[in-house]
Amino acid sequence: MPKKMRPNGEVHMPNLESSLLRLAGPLAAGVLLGLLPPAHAQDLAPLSESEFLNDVPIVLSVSRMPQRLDETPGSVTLLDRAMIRATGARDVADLLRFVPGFEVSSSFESNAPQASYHVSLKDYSNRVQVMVDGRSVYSPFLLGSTGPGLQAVALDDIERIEVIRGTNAAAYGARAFLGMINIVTRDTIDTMGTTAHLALGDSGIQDTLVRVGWGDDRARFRLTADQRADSGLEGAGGRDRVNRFNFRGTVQATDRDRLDVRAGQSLIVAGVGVEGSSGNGLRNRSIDTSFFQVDWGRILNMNEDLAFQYSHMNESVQDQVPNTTFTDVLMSRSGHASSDMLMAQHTVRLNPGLRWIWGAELRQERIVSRILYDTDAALETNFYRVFFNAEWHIVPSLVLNAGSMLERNSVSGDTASPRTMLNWHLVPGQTLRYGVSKAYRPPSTFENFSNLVYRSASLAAAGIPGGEYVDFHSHGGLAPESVVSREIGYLGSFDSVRMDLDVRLFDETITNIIEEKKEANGYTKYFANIPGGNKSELNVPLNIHGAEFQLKWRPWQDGQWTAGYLWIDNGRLYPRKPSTSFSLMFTQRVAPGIHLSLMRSHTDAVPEMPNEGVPGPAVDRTDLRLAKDLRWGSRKGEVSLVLQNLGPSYPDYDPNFRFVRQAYVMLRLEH
Amino acid sequence: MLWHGLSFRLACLCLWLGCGLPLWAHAGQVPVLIVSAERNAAFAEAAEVFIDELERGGVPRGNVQYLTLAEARNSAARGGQLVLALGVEATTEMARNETRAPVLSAFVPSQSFDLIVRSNPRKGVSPLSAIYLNQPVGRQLDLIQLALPQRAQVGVLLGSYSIAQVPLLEDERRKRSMGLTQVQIDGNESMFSKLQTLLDGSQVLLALPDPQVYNSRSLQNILLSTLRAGVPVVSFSPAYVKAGALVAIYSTPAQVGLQSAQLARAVLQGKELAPPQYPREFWIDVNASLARSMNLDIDAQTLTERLKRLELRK
Repeated sequence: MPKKMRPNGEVHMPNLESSLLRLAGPLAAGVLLGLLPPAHAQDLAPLSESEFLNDVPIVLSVSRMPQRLDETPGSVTLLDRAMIRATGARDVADLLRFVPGFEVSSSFESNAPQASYHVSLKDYSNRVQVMVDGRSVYSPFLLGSTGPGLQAVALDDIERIEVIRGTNAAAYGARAFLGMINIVTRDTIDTMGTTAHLALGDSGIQDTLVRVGWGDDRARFRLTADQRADSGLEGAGGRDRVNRFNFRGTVQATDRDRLDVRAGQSLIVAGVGVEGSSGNGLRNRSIDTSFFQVDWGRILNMNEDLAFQYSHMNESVQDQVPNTTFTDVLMSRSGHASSDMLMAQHTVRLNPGLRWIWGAELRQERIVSRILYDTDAALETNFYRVFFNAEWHIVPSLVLNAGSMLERNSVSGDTASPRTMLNWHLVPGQTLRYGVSKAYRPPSTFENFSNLVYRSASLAAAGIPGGEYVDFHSHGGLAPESVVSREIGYLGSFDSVRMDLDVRLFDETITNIIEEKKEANGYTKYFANIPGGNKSELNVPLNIHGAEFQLKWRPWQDGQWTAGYLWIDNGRLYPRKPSTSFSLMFTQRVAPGIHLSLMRSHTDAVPEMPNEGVPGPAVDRTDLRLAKDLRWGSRKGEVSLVLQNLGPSYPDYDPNFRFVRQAYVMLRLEH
Repeated sequence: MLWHGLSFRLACLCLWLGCGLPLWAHAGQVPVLIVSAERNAAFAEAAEVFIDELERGGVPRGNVQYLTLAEARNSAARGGQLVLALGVEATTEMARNETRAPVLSAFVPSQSFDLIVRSNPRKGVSPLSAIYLNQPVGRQLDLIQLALPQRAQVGVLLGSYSIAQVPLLEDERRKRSMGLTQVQIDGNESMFSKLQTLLDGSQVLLALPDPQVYNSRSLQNILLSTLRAGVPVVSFSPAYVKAGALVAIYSTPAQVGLQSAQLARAVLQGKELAPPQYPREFWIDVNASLARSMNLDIDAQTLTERLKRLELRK
């Protein structure tokens, strides 16, 4: 179904008093203007009856009609612009700390700060899909990752982030395996004019942004260039820098046709590795991602529209690893991935109670890496997808969302990912949801075809047979991982106490999980499907179950509490031990134009840290942000102070990488 | 045209009126003359109801003639007892015309009618009156209070056509303890940032007819921006509801035709032409999909009935 969702319309409504306060200026000016007849009023022709009688083009067609949060086929956490700004977060990964179920890291060690849902970052973050404006930014290189995609756009260009907690493969196919992060950038109409910001602070923080938006009713454009830079986690490999530019052009070609063109590039240069390590020496790794995307939307009538999308993406990884022991061995993880995607979809509303979306998608991914695959040939994977999803109001209080994605993967075969979700409005504002869905994650190219061989004379001299050290050698023929996900949800809206509550009880059973294994020689690694994934009982399907809570409470004027809580038993621990995490955020306008936010998050101790298989401690982090609006004439801006991790430093990703207390000041100007 | 489609009956009427013209072209004076600049579906439907209603009151169909302005200019036909002018162009021409019969105007916005009256004093000639096309501002605000009781802060985007309505709006919103946020659009500058400012400080946007503000170029951006901001639009035209406004209040051509006939009948019975007035009957359209997505439990029928009851009590 259409992915535009808004919370209950009342939630974001400014209350009367604050509106009046904020609008005192324009209001007074307006009244004055109203009392004075416009100078040229007499020159106007009389207002014609055609203003009342003529047809106007349809704007909110069926697919633009938002879906209510209590009717979506799954739990959704919505991070809107106000919340994004109030957190003081510098990238999307850091924001996801406020979504129950997510584990995040600020480390660039693996590729870029990443996020995983319900499974540890140790298991990579490849079981969550990331989309930006309908384009998958999931990195297919190596094992697959959310990292580079989460860095695809400047935080300031984001309108909202919809995090679908739970399988969403029925709508978006493989990779939306356990969840999906859907980033929606701001419409070009909302970013007209010039915006600039500069943030400087501890840990070498140097974030900058310049954005220019121009155009008119028919055609509007935006160009954003920005940088996110700091000296990295304490103890990590050095300075991390993300430089991006993103262009978006929107052309209202006719009353019914809208064309959106997007293009951009992001360059992630990260200091990784460990000084003196023979196989993981200090170095800079770069991930250079560029893309082009064109969307064409056509409104057929009030109840039908069509959408077409083409996108192309290139990802180039440069990662030369210095080797101090075998100096003649070129250790590298470099390579190149590219993809092309073509999609068509048709949205139909048959009657007020039934709408559906169906369509098809062709996707081709190519990966070339001499070092990873021991070949110069491109390894190609084609995805052919057909999807159908319907939203049916069986009776006004009962909404059925049902659909499926049929997928043919040229490497791993055919799969069907169905989903059925029933939302029952017990009474207005109280909704129960129950659903079952199935999803697959096809093996990544690396998992299926890796052939990482180091060859050198020094290896032969060291006794490696033939001087060939085979680091990875896949056997091929991997089957996709599959998950059956069941959930019971509850959404409660308590208007009298201004509170919204979202509860999700989940049970996810993963089979055929793909695990890294070692050959008898003790060092060559390969990947294999194992029926389960439980470290102690590998033949039992991996079962993840638990509960997530999300609460929004506005107890008093201009103040809001947001809380998230997770209790999970993800079956990866031995002996099994459930763990919890929570986040709490409080925002308050303390005086006219002055905003305070206070954030606290906690994750339990972990048995294995992502980079090293050693236990990690419980982590608590407290952040504070204080911001003041600036306004002079038609210009406005904001100055803010952000304090991150007020408590002691904590290890992030690796026991030796520490997130230390840091502060930064940001100045933001708009004209 | 959007008025509920052309019924077969209506289509027949258009044909009949069209075919009937040559017979009447030299008929000279008829008691009642209907004129409009063009024959569109809305005018034709109003004319049909008007004629039917007069017939029910004992005025033979043959006593009513419907001509376009061009036809009227070329014929000797004059309304002996009453002229019903449909639309701004016909009203303007009839106001300038030296016709002896009273002129009742319909399908004319109140501000246009005032302008026409101001520029054509018609001193010593026959009376001129109107049933306005627009709804009274108070009725629109009452609708907002009924449909969106939580939303008391009303935003208006003003252009040169609509700014004159502000004093009236101020009066009416004060009576109802509602807030008013207003932003004036200057034709020479972009409305983007002003629209954003308005939406930041409004809970509902009341659209006032003004081609400088609402036109086919701007409507797309206005409606999409209101959707993003979660600010529903209350409009004056059912076409806007189809396009993406939440609700519209308007009078149908049939309602206009009926009210015109009732005023006309009084004149034909020798009474004076009633003063200019707003439409008595109205209809409400609700964009049901949008209402549902905004979690609003409203429907057109109930809202119309509740608003009528409210007006009866006043």
